[in-house]
Amino acid sequence: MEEQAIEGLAALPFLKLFTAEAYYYITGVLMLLIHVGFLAYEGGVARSKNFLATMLKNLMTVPIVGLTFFFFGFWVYNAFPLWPVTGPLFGPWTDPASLSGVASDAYGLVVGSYPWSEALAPTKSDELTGVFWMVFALFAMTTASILSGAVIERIQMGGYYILAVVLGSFCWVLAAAWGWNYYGWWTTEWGWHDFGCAVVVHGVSGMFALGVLLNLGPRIGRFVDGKPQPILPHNISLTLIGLFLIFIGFFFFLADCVIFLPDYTGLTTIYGGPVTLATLAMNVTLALSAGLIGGYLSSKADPFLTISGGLAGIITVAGGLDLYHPGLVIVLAFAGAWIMPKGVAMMEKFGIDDVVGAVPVHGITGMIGGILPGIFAAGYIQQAGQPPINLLGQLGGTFIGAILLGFVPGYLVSLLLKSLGLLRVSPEFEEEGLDLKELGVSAYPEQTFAAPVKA
Amino acid sequence: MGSPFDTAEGYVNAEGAIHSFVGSPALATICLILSVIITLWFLYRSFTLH
Repeated sequence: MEEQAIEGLAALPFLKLFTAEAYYYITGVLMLLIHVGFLAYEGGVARSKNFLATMLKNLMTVPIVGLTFFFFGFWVYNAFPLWPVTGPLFGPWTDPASLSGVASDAYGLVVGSYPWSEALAPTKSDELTGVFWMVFALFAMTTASILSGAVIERIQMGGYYILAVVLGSFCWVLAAAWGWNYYGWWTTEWGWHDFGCAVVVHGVSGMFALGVLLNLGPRIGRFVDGKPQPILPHNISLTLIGLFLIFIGFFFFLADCVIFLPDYTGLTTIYGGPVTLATLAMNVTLALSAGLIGGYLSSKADPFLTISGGLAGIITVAGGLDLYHPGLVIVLAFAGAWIMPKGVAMMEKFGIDDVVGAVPVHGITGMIGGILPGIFAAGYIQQAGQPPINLLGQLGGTFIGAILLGFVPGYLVSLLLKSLGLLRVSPEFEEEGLDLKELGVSAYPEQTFAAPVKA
Repeated sequence: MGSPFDTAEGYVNAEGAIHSFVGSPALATICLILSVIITLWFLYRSFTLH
């Protein structure tokens, strides 16, 4: 009996490690449901002539961002948290002997982030870096997928892939290094708090999409003499199911915003504050519910905008999900989702063809979600010596993230692609449909779309 | 409304409630009342939205 107890105790270190490893592995894999959802969502929104090309473009976000995140994205996340404010930019050139204090602690993570690092290869000396890498890579794919839906039916695949790499493996990662990192200078210097990546993922990607859309232009026929013309989804059922899968995936995305390491005595946020899965269970479910109602009422029961309201609700409260009372979550999520359809109308008014509403749903509500902790969760000091969460800090991080790391690079890179003729397909391709012109196949080869003839 | 903790240690090592309405129960009550109103408004509008 005593021997068995001793054997059990000997297994304890492994079990502690395995619990953390398994937590991230399982939640990370289930986060892939976001991509299943984006695939269905975009495919349904596209017209039947662009169905396969739209889905293929979205699907290939996974490999292009996955590989480039391995090549340099994970390094960006670990190398930039201190630079250029509180410390150096880390890389193979860094001499660890020259570092001290926080810089020395932060550098420890950098050596495990290079593609040639032993921590990312099969090893028994590090069983967590690989699962963290996977979770981050999936965050990166999610960020790029947000752009994907906005630009469907007229963007060149190659042009999109370049934009996806810039956004998914660099821009949002830099925002995360500064604002979603234990050592990030937004937090250590400004008291920044963004638990569920409202700005770091959604604000950056939504505003990046806006920059791209300005150069890409609307689909042919979307605006006639400046007046918006409806281009209806070819399969709204697929779109609705896709968005519901995104909701499920976001429960796991937010679970992966929690830090759980083998020797921890409780779960923490990335900033070191306490959090529980029960908090997420309550607040995410309520935000989804209130967001759906907000979208429903604001859009007068438009199915597409109603279900988008669920996502807008979650994003609105994402920044302070760990600190908001459930009643506050309901009110804020409802308000954010209520605003979202107004943003869709505003985009139409300016002649911008944002097919899935990425700018209002992710960009605008992401920015709102980043600012709100400065009002409703002000005063929390996340680590000794740091400023408390405050409105000015939240405004500063939101501006840098959504505008300087989102809108500006989105606009400039797409402008460069446009000037090189790499951004948009030809009018002929667009009119005839990308499935036949680019892929040589049709999604519905047996189907005819001729109107029925009366006998 | 805001942090119920004066220091980082108090927040990080908290044992009880940590939400930002801990020190403002009246605000929590107002939000809950608003939540009920939103829900009832939705139910009412579901009969009138066509």
